[in-house]
Amino acid sequence: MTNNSMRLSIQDVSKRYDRDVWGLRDFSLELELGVLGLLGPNGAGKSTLMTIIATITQPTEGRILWNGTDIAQVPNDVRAVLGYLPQDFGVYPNLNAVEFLEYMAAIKGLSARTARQRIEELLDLVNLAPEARRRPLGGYSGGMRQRVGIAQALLNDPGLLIVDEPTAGLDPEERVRFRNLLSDLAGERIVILSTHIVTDVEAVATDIALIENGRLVRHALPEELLQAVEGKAWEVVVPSDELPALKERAIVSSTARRSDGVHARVVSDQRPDDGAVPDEATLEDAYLYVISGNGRA
Amino acid sequence: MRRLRILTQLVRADLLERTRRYSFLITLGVMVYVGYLAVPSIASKALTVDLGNIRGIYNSAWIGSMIALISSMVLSLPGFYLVKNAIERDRKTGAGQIIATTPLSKPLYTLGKAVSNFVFLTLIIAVVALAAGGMQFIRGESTQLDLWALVAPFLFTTLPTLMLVAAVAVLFESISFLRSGFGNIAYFVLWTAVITISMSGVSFGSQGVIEEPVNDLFGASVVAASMHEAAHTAFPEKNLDLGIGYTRVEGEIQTFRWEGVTWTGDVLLGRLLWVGVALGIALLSALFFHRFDPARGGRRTSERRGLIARALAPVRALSLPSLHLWRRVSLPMPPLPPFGRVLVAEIRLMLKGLPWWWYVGAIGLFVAGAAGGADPEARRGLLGAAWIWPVLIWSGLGVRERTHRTGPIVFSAPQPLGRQFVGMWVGGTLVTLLTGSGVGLRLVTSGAWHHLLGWGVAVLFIPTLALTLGVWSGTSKFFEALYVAVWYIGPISGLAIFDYMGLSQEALDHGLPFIYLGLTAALLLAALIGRWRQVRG
Repeated sequence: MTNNSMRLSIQDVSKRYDRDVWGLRDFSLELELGVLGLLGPNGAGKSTLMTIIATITQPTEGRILWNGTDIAQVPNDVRAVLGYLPQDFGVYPNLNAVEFLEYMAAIKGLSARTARQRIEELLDLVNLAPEARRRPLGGYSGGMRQRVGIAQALLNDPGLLIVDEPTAGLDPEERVRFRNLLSDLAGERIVILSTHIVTDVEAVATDIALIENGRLVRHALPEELLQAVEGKAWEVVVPSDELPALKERAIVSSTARRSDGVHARVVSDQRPDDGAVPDEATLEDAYLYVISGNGRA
Repeated sequence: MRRLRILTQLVRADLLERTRRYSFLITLGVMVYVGYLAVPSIASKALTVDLGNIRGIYNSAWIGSMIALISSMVLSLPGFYLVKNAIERDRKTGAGQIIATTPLSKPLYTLGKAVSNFVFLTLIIAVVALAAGGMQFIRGESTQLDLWALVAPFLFTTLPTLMLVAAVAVLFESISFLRSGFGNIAYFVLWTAVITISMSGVSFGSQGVIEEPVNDLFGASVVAASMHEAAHTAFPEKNLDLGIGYTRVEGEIQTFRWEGVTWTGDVLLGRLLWVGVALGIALLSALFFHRFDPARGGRRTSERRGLIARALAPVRALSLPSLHLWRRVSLPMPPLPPFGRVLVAEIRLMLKGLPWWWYVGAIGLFVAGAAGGADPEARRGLLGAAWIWPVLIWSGLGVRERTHRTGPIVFSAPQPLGRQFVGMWVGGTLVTLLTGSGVGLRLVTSGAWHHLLGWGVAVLFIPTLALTLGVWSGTSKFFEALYVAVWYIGPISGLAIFDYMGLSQEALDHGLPFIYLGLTAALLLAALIGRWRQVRG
């Protein structure tokens, strides 16, 4: 599926779970080809948004258009081109990887030939060893199961790929492999990558949406986010007993204990300490800066 | 003291989790309704405890005892299925792995779970007891409330029974092969046997009721003996008979005053015996409980290490293909049109993972059915066996997506209703058809067209019932318990109205196949609506 006119339009979407509990509030976003990194703290509403786009649940208010068609009214249009890897998903333990993917291919409506070809390709792509492919999924490790999950999401060569915490459970090597895979896929489709691992987003996202308490806080290019914290990242060395006080007055993104004290990385509009040395800002700094209530323009 | 605190916390967490579920409210509603039915209106000719057109005045003792007795019999079946998830929940949520790393001992854990089950069931019974008090005033035959006479039967007849149910549920969860569908069916069989044995000692004879606490799990003989004594004093000339259950009687109903069972030390000891048995079972469960060891968590792995499997190991090694090898056999996907591939995938999903002996049994039943299905009595046994054999396949219909958490990826595929749902239903129907085809073939060759009609309707009815209950309840337990009960009462015991297989002439004469065909259509529609709701989120 390659189509330059693909467009996902999220218009004022809200989701209410209980009388006063909102998972999402007035969320609007326009997406075209590329990888959107969806970043936010736990419980921010990332998975809620994902499940609404994946047609698993309905928005309470607002609508989502896939190439101009409301996905709540005509879900099959988007389902036909959708690849979805949920954060929490299961597999049928008595089937092996090939059988499970054949099952998913059948219900996704892939032809027998395409399915056969894709399954072999994808199992190679996710690096699942040939001898493991015929073993029941019930005996798989979490990482292997995750790789089968990734393969099923890519079965129909999706135009819209939604991956929720995809690298959870993967070892570092597999994580890098998956990030490269996402980068390779990015040019031809819309990919929504939800994660709290900023380095994953840093590596592949063409644009980033920050979400908190169900609301869109900022939608920007990675470089725009980095510009927001330019000159605001510092390295400070403080005695360990002064660290709590530093945390009180500034955003501390990381710390490392050394013989001369604690080396703290700080994001702050002003120089946090006389001895503070300016440092190059990272996306993680920008994320913490925006989430803490700054730079939300 | 620390142990008590652990126990309390186990019970508290389980209780909070369970009482916040809809199934709790539904059970409460059903049980209160059962309590209401247990005390028929004074004007009606209905009785639930009938001593031969004689009943006790609706005072606290009579109402309390009646509702307590009926509740303990009724709740002991669904109550088991309601609480048989305490260990499973810890396993599924991952909390078990955390628990396993604490100093909590296995006996304390299984005992805690049994107590937790018991407290939950007790909560239900407490509401029923409250409703019983209300019923006394609704019926208004006696407005003098004797709290002890009302509550004591619940304490001494119902609670020991429920303690046993609570402990048996833990035992079933601890033994790997009883943990899933097979255990659900085994409990029904056990429950039927226990009811039969318990009630066999409660009929009235010339010497009144013989109290046999060892046989009497439900405490019915204690209550019946006391009722018999009072009724005999009130009506010495009458031949007393005892019937428990909702019945409509002919003629005038006479009443007598009964002040309830005198709870003597002996009587209480008889009831305490069951509490002791329950505690013993709860502690025994610790022997089988694997403490969330993932290496032993899998059903099949545990089966291999189970006592029975260990005993059979030499035989298995000599002559039978290993289970592990069997699971590795891969069934190829034939080149078919799209729906055909969905169908094959669904059937493969149903059949994959079944042990080799399941296929041997199915083939045996096919051959036996084809050979001996012409004789009506043989047919009852053969078709009955053929259509209980796949019960664990059917009970997975409509449930798998929840059990295995594949819902998000299955429901986000295109046309989940037109493709996967229909494939699942047709697949289930084909499995039913194939497993019953031995008898079906025989019916065709012998020209028994009326019976073939009943057979054909059952082919559609059984998987549809499973699918509907699975989709709406989200658990396989409901179908497993209900289907086995209906299968036993209808086709096996011959009660025509439940004979969905059309085995008896009476069922055919009353046009039951057509009724079940209509019911199948309604169930299918209900399943479709249920799945549509799931897909819509």
